[in-house]
Amino acid sequence: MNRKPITYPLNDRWSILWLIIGGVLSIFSMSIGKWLIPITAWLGAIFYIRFFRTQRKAWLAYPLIGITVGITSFITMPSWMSAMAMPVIVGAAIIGPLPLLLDRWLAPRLPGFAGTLVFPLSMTAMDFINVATNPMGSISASAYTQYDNLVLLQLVSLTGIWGLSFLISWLGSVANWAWEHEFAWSEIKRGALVYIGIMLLVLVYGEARLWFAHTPAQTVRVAGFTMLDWRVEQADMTRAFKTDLNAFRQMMEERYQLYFDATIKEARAGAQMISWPENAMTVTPQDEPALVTRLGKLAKQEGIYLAAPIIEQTNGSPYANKLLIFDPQGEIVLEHYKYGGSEPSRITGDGILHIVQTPYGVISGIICWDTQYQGVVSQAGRNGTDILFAPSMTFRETDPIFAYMPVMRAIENGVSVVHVSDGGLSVAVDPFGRNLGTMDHYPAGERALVAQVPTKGVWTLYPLIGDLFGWLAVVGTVLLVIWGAVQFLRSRKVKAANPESQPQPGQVP
Amino acid sequence: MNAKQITFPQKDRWTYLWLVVATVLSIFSQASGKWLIPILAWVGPIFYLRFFRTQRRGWLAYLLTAVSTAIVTFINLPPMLGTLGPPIAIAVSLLIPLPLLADRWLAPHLRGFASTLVYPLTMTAFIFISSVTSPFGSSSALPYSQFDNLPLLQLVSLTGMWGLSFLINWLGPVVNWAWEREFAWSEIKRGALVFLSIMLLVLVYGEARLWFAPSPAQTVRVAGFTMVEWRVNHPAMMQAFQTDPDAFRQMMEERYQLYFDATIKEARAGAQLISWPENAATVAPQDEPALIARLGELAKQEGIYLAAPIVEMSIDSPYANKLLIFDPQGQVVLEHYKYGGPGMEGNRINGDRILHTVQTPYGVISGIICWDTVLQGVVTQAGRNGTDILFTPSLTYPETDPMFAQNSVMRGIENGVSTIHVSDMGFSVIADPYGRILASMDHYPKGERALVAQVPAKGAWTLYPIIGDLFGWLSVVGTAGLVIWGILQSLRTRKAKVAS
Repeated sequence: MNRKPITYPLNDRWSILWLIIGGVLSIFSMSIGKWLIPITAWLGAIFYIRFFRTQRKAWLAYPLIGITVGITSFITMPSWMSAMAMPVIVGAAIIGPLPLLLDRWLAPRLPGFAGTLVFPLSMTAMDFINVATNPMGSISASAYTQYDNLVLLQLVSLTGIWGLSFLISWLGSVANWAWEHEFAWSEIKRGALVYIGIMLLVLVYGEARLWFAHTPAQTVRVAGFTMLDWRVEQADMTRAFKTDLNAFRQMMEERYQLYFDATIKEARAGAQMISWPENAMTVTPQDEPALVTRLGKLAKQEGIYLAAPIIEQTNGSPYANKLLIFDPQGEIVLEHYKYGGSEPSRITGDGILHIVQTPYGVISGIICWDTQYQGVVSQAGRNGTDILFAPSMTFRETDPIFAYMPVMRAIENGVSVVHVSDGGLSVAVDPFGRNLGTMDHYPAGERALVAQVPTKGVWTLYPLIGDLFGWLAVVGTVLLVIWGAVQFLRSRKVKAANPESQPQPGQVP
Repeated sequence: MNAKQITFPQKDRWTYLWLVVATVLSIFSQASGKWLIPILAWVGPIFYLRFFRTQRRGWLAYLLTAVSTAIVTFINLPPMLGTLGPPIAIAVSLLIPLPLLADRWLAPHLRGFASTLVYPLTMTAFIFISSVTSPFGSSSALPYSQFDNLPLLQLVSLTGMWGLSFLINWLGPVVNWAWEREFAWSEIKRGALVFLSIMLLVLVYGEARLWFAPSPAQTVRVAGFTMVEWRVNHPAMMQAFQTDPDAFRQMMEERYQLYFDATIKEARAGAQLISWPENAATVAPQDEPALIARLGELAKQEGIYLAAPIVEMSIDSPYANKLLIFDPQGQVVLEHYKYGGPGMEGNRINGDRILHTVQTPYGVISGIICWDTVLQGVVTQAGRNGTDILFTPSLTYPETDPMFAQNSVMRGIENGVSTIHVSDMGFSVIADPYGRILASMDHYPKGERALVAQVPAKGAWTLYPIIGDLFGWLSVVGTAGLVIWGILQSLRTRKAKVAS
């Protein structure tokens, strides 16, 4: 590897321009942002890094980037984040530039191309820690920005979303490394070929994995539908629940009927498994046993597996948001409590994914927000699940991006996913993330999702190694920081001992 | 632009290695090949060009490349071509290296980065001309190989497939151009930035087009299914038709029943438009009026639009392969005769290549049949005549599963129409006007074979149907211009040589 020492700050009178370009690109590269142009997620880092490395004072570059991140996050932040938006924006503005600071401090101390690893390692570590500690789960993970590139997404079957985080941010430091060497081929050849070679390998892996995937031996007809907008009458519903139980019962009964009728219709068209969206059955605790009995009868009458999400409303005590799966004998064969997210006064599930053996493969289920916890969902990749139900309820502003998170879980764990989403995009995908059926909630017309779903999942590495790559990024970052600190102390000592031979900042001693 | 004079042959002792690498890569980059790794379609030409430009003798390079192409073609030749295979392989082997020859001859005469245009222009001209002259249309044309990259495919809404042909083939000469300058940044900077910017622009266009596409105002439930494998009992069917009309009738009646039952089932589940695959209703001429009456009754009884492909068999006279669309009143509102592959499917009536439309409460619908789909120039009518939903019922082969479905999706993006591709023995897909898959169903797994989707009732505006194959013609004109210019140059240098 090349050892030409580069020291920061670099001279570049366009420095501020790079900040502006980086900022504009980042408006279009937030996973849950208003406008998503996936390729900008790769490019933005190039200019942010360039800016940071060409600013004379790092302490000044840091707040400038922080402000830029704050402004761009504010612009692109979806309105549904409401009260959460401000803390997220402030958090992003403060924490977001840390990898840039680390990069500026440590990259020049590392020999040659190895210096390019500081930024992607620390970005991935930050992504991972953010996801692991964030009560909202992984929704902000950078990997989701690449939703439109199924080939690239195949990587998550090996590394989880962390491999993708790493690759996306690595381009930024590689491009800067080449830039600082004035793109002189003799100097950048090996590094450039390493990066291009790895990218090519990842893409060939994805394309080959998709092409050579076996044709499924068997499929099962699965259906889902969204019959109403649960949120639209939420205020009326809650009021009725508190003041007039009979009115509430009447209101809910009308809804049940829509779901019952559609279920009978789809079952008679041949669906063997039917999923309703999250919250489809909202019920009082005293009415719940009767409702459950009716659901069992429905499943038995039509001879289907029925995945029915139920909200058990309460006054005072925690309410339940759960998924029941009924078998064609009308028995409850799976009960799952939602574990994800921070919805107040809700019973929180134990985060264990249960399974049911059926003639159409092993099925399992989670609910909406659960999907964002990739570590928990990786149970599906270990417990033999073939088809995972992920009924959801989302918002117009999260349509369609929230549908791509269950797709990611499908690829990671090698399971088909049936995601029926009130107020969003519903999808049924195979274990490689390929669309078998999609249906958007908003156009006028029927809202049916019907697909022939493979009855067998595929083997993937990710559920076995879990978030290993996330942890590796954390360990790598920590080691780099320790190493940097030791280097720094040593150079100070040298300085103290020998004040004349003061090493230039960033110079490898 | 840089004007450093590069002359061929370049010195390179690895020249034969490049040929081997190119051959291996190109085995995996055929749009209709057995194994398709789309990105290799971009990488392969880098090494073919390098080989060609580093060979001492152009004619030897041509022969060796032809052999390499022949190997690639033979490995990938779909068995369905039967006896047509070898002549096609030989023709392809002789023609494919021509753009390489043109590149070697003309590129050094052009200054700087402009020299990189010779190969993509001639390749695009070649792919375009073969698509308009070959009875197979654009089937297996290079751009289909990029089926897995929807943002990239959005380019065809502007330029048709020719823009994509050009880009895929441009990378090779750009890399070689940089290679010959030893990747010296000062020399290759402008060219490299031009190529990168154009690629970036194309990807951003595609990603933005997909993201900002308006949510459809209305959708309609559409269903399709494949109930039998038409080809499986083909010999028995033909024999019955020729010797025992009653047995034939009986055999067909059993099939009709499957399609009738499935239609009733899907209609009662809410489908408003139902499509059968190509050949679903095969019938003797004398029985056809009765069958059509029954189909009309079925459509009326269930209140649906029914797209029913009919094969009207015949012994001596040409047989008919047509698509009838019935409205919910049971009337035939559209009749389309297959026009694709004239003379390639026996003694068949050839359609007039006019796409008809029907106004429905769920948008304007139109229909073509299987092979028609690969004649992209004809299908552009759908982009001009207001079609919102295009039916492309098909009958294919295990070897062409899933790639033939891609032909239909590509027409959808080009013309901004949703496509309903129900394919016996193949991959069925329903895609929206941006090529996004709304539903997909493979014919081969066990289990039901139903395809159901909510399809947008409105198409999207695209440029391609208006300008047609302009970009294809531009590449032809560009190539012709280059060749004439090259001839003039060589005559002039000869003259100069003679004079001195």
